[in-house]
Amino acid sequence: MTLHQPLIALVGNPNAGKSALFNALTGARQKIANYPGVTVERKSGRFSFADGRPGELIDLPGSYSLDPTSPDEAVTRDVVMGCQAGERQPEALIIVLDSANLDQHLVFALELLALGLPTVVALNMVDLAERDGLTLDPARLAADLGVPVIPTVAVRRKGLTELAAALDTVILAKQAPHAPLGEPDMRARRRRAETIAHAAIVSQTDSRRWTDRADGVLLHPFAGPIILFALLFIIFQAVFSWASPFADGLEAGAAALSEFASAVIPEGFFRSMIVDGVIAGVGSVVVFLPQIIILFFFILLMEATGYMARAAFIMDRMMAGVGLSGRSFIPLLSSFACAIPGIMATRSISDEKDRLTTILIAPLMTCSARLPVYTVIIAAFIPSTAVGPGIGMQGLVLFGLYVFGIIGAMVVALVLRSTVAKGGASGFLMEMPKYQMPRIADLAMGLWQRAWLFLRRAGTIIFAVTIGLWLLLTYPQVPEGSSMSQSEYSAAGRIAGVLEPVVAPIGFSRDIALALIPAMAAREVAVSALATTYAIDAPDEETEALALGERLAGRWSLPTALAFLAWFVFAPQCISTIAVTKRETNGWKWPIFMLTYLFGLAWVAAGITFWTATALGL
Amino acid sequence: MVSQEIAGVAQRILIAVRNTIMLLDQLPTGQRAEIAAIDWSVLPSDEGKRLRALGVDEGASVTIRHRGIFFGRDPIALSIGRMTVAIRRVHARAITLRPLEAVPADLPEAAE
Repeated sequence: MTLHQPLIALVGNPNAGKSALFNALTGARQKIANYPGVTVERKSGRFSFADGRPGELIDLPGSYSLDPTSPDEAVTRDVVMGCQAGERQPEALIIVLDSANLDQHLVFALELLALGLPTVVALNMVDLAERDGLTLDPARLAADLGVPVIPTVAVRRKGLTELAAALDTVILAKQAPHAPLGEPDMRARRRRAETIAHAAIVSQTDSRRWTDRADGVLLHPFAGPIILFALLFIIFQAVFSWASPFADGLEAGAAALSEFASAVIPEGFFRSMIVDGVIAGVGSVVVFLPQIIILFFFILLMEATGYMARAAFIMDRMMAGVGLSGRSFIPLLSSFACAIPGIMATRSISDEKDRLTTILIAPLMTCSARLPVYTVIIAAFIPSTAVGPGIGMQGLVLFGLYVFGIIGAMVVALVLRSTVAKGGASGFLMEMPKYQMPRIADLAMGLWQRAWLFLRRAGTIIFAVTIGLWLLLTYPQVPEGSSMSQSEYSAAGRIAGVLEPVVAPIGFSRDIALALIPAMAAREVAVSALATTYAIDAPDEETEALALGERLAGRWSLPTALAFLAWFVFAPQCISTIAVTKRETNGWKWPIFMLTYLFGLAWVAAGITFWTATALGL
Repeated sequence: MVSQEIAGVAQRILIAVRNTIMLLDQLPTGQRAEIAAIDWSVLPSDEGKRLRALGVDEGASVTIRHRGIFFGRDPIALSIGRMTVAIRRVHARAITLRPLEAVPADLPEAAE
C-alpha cells in the first residue's frame, strides 16, 4: 500500500517567482511530463513536510485569472477546479505573490481564495521589494485574506520551513479561508485587491528604482538594440566555437563505441544494426548536445534575469512587419542552432496562429546541421578569392545562404499569415518583469532538464528513425559479384530510382537523389552518404571532406552544386523536426503541410538556381 | 499682435481639446494620465481580456516609460502601478486618456 500523498499546487501570476519556489521546495526531485492532449508541461516534484511525510507538489503555469486566454492558463484553471483530465484536485494551494507587485497579484489570489481550498500565501521576493523601497506587513495581509501569509525568498531558501509548517496546519485542519471572498467580477476584485495591498504596505517609494534605471539603458532607442545585437553576436560565437571541442569529444566517443561494438559483437545483422544504424544515427544527433546546452544556457540566463522580455520588446516591430510578434524572436533565434529546441520554445507564444507560423518557419533558420553540407560544397566549387578587404568569396556565399533562409522565412511568414494561419493582427501584450540575479543552481537544473529532454528524444524517436533508415539502406542485400553497390541495390537505392526523374529537371543526378534519402535523418548525413556513394574511404572526416570535395568538383557541374546548396536552404531534411512538429501541433496535419511546402520550395529554389546558372553559362 | 494673441488662444484650445480626448499612444513619455475609456470593440477579445487582467482598465493611471526603436516607435512600455507592460500602438489607440498632470498654466506663446 502506498502512503497517501497530498497533492499541493503552486499557483500565481507569471513572474511571481513560482518556479524558483518550486525548485527550492522540491530540490532535484522533479518530473516533467505533458498534460494529455495539450502542449502544456506538467512539472511535479516530491516535497517533504517537517516530519518527513511526503507530498506531491505541482507547479501550475502562471496565470492572471481563472478566465483563460491561453492553453496554459486553461490547464491552471482546470487543475485548481478539479476538472483537468488525469489530475486529481489539489488538496491545498500555495498562492505565490510578488511582494513588489501586491495590488496586481492579489487580484488573482482573491479569485483563487474564493475556491475555498486550504491555502497558504507565499509572500515571495520580499528582499527585492525591500531593494525597491517597499516595506510590508505580512500579519495585516494574513488578517485581511484569512489565510497564513509567509514571507519567502525562494532563491535564498528563506521562509521554506515556515511555509511547510503552515501548509501542514491548513491541510490537517482542512482549513478553508475563513473570510468568504467571492467577488463577482474582476473590477470588484481589483478594487478589493488595491484596498488590501494598500493596507499591507507600510511604506513605499513610487517606482521600481533598479529596474527603471536598467531599462533606461537596455531599452534606450540607440543603446538598446546595440546591446542586444552584441549579445546575439556573443551567443552565436559561443554556440559555434565553444561547442566544437565538446562535439569533437562526443564524436570521438561515438567512434570508440562503434569500434568497441564491432569488436565484441559477431559479424552479422546485429553488429551492422548497432554500429551502422544505432551508434552512427543517434551519434550524429547527440553531437549537437554541446551546442544546445550552450544556447540554452544563454536563453535561460536571459529569461532568469528578466532580459528576455526586453529583447522581445526591441524585436517586436521587425517581427510585426511579417505578421508575427516579439515573442517569436527567441524560438527563431534558437533555431539557428537546431530547430528542435526552437519549436519547443514556441510554447511561450500565446497566440495560436502566431505560434503555428513560428513553428512552420523555424526550419528555415540555418541550423548547424546544414554547416557540414555547405562547407563541403562551398570548398569544392566556390573559389577562395577575395571580393573586398577581409571579405572572401566563400564566406560571402555562406553568409548569403543564411540571409537566403531568413528572407525565405519572412516571405513564408507573410504568406502563411494571410492564408492558412490567417488571423487578426496579433498583439504584443507582455508584462516586463523586474530584473533579478539568477541563481546558479536554478540555471543548472533548467539546463539539465533541457539536455535530458533532448537526449530522451534522441533515444526514442531518432533511434527508431535511424533504424528504419538503416534497414532501407541495408536490405535487400546486394548479391555476391554484382556490379552494383549496396546503396544502389538497397530499397533506398530503388526509391532513389523513382526520385531521379523528379529531381532531374533541377540538375540532380541519381547519386544525389540517393544521398538525399539517408539525409532525411539529419542533413549532415548527406556528406557521409555522398562519400559512401563515391566510394571514398578516408581515415577521418577532414580528409574525407577534402577528398569528397575533389571528387565532387570533377563530377558535378557548378549549376548542380549551386542548386544543391539552394535545396538545403529549404528542404526539411530532418525527421526529428517533423516528429517534434507533430508533437507540438498535436497531429499529422501540420507536419505534413510543413514537409510539402518545404520540399516544394526547395525544388523551386534549386530549380531556379540551376536554370539561371545554366542560362548564364556558369 | 492681435493675430498672435488669437493664435495663442487657438493653440490653448487645441491643447485643451487634445488633452480631453488624448489617446494613449499620444501621451508624452514620462507623463502620467488616467484611462478614461477603452474601446473594447476594436481589440481582439483575448487581447482585451489580457489587458484587463494586467490592470489596464478604465480608471487606472498609466505612464509611458519607453518606446520601441524603429519607425513609429512601436511598441510602448507602459508603467501601471508597480508593473511595466508592453503594448502595441494599434492597441494603445483604443485607449482614451484624461491627463492627471495639468497642462502648465503658462503656455509658451506661439513661436515667433
